Amino acid sequence: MAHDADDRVRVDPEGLVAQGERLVDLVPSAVSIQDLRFRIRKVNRTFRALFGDRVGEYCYEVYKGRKEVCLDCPMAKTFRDGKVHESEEIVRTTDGSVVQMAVRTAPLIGKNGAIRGGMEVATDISRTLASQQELVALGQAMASMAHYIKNIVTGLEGGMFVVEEGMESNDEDLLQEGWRMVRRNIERVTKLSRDQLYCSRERDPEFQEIDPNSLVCEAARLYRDKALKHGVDLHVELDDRLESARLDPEGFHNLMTNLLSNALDACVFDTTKERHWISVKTVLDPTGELVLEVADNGQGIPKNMCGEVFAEMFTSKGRSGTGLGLLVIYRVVCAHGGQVSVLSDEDVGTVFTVILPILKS
Amino acid sequence: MIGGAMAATILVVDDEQDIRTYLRTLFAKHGYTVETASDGEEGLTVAQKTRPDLIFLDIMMPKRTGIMAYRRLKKDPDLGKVPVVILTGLSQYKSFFAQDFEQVPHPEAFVEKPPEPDELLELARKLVPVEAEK
Repeated sequence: MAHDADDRVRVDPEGLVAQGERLVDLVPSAVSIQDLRFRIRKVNRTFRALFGDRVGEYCYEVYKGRKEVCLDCPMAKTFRDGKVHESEEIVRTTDGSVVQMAVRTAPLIGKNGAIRGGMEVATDISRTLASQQELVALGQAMASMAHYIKNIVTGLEGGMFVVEEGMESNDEDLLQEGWRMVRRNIERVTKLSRDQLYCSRERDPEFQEIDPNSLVCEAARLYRDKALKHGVDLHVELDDRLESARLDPEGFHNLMTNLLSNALDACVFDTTKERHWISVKTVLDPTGELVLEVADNGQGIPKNMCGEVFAEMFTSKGRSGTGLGLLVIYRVVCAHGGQVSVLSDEDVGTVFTVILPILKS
Repeated sequence: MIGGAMAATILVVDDEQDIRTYLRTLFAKHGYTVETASDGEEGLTVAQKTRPDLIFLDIMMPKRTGIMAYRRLKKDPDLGKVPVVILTGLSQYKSFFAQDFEQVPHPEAFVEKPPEPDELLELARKLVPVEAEK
């Protein structure tokens, strides 16, 4: 149970209060003493570091910038029933960052047993929550990866079976078909491991002056045949004014191949149109930035999923995707200090727009 | 075919071309007539046209067409009796099924990917003999 501040002064001839205050200063949580009107009367060092020396102001002003007591305020409950209450609150610190805090409030009881105020201990749990989210994402990633690998294994086993069957029955067409299955699935597992490696290793991008159009062409060349095979036209339109930019070629290549393979999948999965196309465009925009646009008229992303596109491991491809490709796209764009956005309409198509600053050395 | 009986027909519905090729080759080798479809919509059309004796259906296809096809198959007065084997990459498929198909009869069997060829053949033989009564 907490004690009344006046009491403490009287029974503290040996400086125990000062020692106690020093101890409270060391607590890595924001501790404040508030009166019954929610006015802050005393704070510890962590509180001052996060919110400034706001003694005399109201708690709801300091934490939330409000003019009145928050709905569901834990301190108000403590004042009502004299018990400890807990809640999680999103607050803004003086440096402008928004943090999530676990708040605990306890009553301060006066000599006559009446509640005279309360003590609030607020602990920043943003990091803990972020770690929790990472663990959840990791779990989802493992599940979606296992799923995807099962498909590859099925494709490889199927391919082997078809090859053997082709050899046994001397059927050249069947043999070729089986071999194509084996090849396709080896390509898939290769791409998966490359993406996984890209996402898991701490790699510093290696920037160099390079013609972005040549990187775009190289990636488009890799996908042109594949696209044609699926009846998808791949157009490339390059802005010649883009002579060179400071880019990480490996990252940019991964970015391009992921954008293209997503666009191709979107077309292959789409059953609503006869003809499909993918368009790749580079533009030097008036502000001197490199704009890369990859558009397709494939299946599009359902409206309710659009907001999640860059969440880790997002996929709209059911079991045919891991969502890893989007994570690669996002990471590469971040490493270049750029931005990526997506516009999509289900059954109409998708446009990914990447804007990268052209940094010259 | 023995004694003029017709070969039983198996319909394979899967969006993965590799699975369709794999299962088509496997079942054709063992005397079945095989039809394939690449999504749920097409699966229903082919099922109505060819009246298969057994359906292998991938449940997780884009746009939920696998789930839609399963519901419509099981509710169809004629096709509702055709045994369906669900092919799935989900390990937790039973709980998934419990949520999604509460009101619909359960499938005759589940096969988790990657399927073993012997397991598929045994299932097919159990659910429909090669020479089905037409």
